[in-house]
Amino acid sequence: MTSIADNMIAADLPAIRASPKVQGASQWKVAALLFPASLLIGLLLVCSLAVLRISFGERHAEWSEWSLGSYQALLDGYYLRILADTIWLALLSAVATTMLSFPIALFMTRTASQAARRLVLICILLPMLVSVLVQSFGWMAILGPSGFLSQALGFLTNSERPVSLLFNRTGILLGLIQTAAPLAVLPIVASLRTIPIQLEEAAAVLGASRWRVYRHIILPLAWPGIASGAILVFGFNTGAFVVPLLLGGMKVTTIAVVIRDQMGAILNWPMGATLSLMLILLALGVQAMHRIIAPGRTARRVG
Amino acid sequence: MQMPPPVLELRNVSRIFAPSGFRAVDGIDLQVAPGEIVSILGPSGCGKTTTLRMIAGLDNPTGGDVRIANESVLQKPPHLRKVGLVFQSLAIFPHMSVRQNVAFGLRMQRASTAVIEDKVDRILELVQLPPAQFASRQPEQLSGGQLQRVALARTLVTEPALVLFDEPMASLDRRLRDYMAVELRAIQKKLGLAAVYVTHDQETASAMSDRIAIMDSGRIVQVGRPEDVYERPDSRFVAEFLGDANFLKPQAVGGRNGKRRSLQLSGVPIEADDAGQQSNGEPFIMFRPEHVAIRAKQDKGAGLTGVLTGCQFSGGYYRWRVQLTDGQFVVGRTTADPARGEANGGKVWLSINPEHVRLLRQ
Repeated sequence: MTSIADNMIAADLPAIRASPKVQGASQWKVAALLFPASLLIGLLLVCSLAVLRISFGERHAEWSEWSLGSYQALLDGYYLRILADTIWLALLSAVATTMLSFPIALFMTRTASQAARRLVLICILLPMLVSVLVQSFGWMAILGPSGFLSQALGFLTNSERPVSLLFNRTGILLGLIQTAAPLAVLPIVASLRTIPIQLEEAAAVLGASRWRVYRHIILPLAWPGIASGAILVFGFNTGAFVVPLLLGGMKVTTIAVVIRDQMGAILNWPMGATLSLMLILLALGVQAMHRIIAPGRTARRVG
Repeated sequence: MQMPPPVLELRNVSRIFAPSGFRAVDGIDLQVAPGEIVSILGPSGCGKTTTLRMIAGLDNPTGGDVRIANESVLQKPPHLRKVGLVFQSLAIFPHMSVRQNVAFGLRMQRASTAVIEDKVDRILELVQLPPAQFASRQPEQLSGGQLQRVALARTLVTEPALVLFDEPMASLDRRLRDYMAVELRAIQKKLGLAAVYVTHDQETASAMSDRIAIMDSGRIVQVGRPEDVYERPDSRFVAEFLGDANFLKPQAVGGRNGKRRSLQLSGVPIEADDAGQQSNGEPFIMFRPEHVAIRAKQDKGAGLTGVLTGCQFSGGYYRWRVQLTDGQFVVGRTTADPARGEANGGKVWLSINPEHVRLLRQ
């Protein structure tokens, strides 16, 4: 996650980059400082390995027996379809969220009004402080048959039957976009802040219209932040649980919901573990992709 | 003789910033003729950069008119004004190679690839960045002076009618700055460019320009050839801004003979040019340190006497200080070691070149 984290904090902590060489006794200090983090990462690693082990286990004998049963079941089609569905929803939400977040981030970096910037920042951050559960109930109220959005759509299309956006892909997508928006806005803001206004002015004086300034200067330079945002949203939404559970009803399910069913209701731990492993692999794959689609080139390089 | 129309004309241009009512630029007039470099020189905050930004279209005047090639450009956005601007920060695009940076303006003009290649190669040669060696480099691989050249090439390659410089050499060390100034001047002459050069460094301004406009608190206080403004400042501000100067109080100011006034300094009669300032303030005389001669014994014309109170060698010349008999100090500058007047207890005689004495008012 280094480069994403870099992008998120780069604007606020420029001085941290150059740290003097650590030597001698202070190595102990560094080790001590890293200890809590190592503990956390170690635990995560152990859990992941446990998931790996269980995925190769026999149902009800997860730790003692070995079996490829759940992998066979995975290739069976049903789970693959849900997996593909999940990826597709996450992909759509990542693209949509990033596209919607860019203008917001641009406004936040460009507005001269401190108050406006703070207000937008609060609006962006507030959902992060409220449980996704509460946010999803909010969406249910808006999207349900008697919700105002459905009513309004029904009125506009002059249809007798209320247009329900609940319990279908559109509803899930709206929920995924809204709950993940802060993850896209913040890295884009951070990368936009590293672009000196003079670069835009220079391009304008050299004959670039406003649109071409965006096309040739701002978008390429903000790209690392945009890519980080999109990847964070994608990663966050592949594992989304509450939003698809509540807004999808049981009609549209995602991997996380199925994992819950396997681990809980059905008590098929190997199947749940196998599907969890798919999520982990997906996250790792996306991280690998990040290196390719967002090479670490920012405006900061040239002083 | 018919004068060609000016490339740039500022007519009573003002810029008042909204909430505070601060007058960054307060009604200035300026013309730039074809092939001419005019420097706008002033301390930071005097409005010179704001003026430049208004010419480029990055800021809009609250009053007056900006005319380029005899046409008002107030309604034109920056990308349609056909001016070049070299920024103080240089604003090299960090995600583009040298070639892409320089080609940017031509690409915006939708020039053909062949034309772009050809023009970029030629301009890189002109600014002494051989394309074979430099064209494919990234900005982070270049030194400060090389980035400077890229910025210059990027601006010149589009052949703008007018080039604006916003202190582009401020970040360079002194030797490189002097070198770049000479080079820039040569390129400007070769291409016959009209340019406005904004700076707070009077040496660069003098070296670079055909004319200097001195700005103070949003107004242009004096315009002229560098040597004229240096020798004949119209106010104490201009005199001080352009270099070292002596400001002395005369005992009496006598009659007028044309622009010449006779007066008394430390009991000795001398003459001065009246700058004609519209002010009732106390009169004082001003002259540059290099226009005072120092002698160890009384000489013809060396009437002022005083005691040498300090002398230092500062690379190429001696700077010294003499206290006159009336208590005022004169600072001088000579290439030869000044007479120290050891024979007469430090007493020296001074003569001020009367051609270079100005009468100013507070």
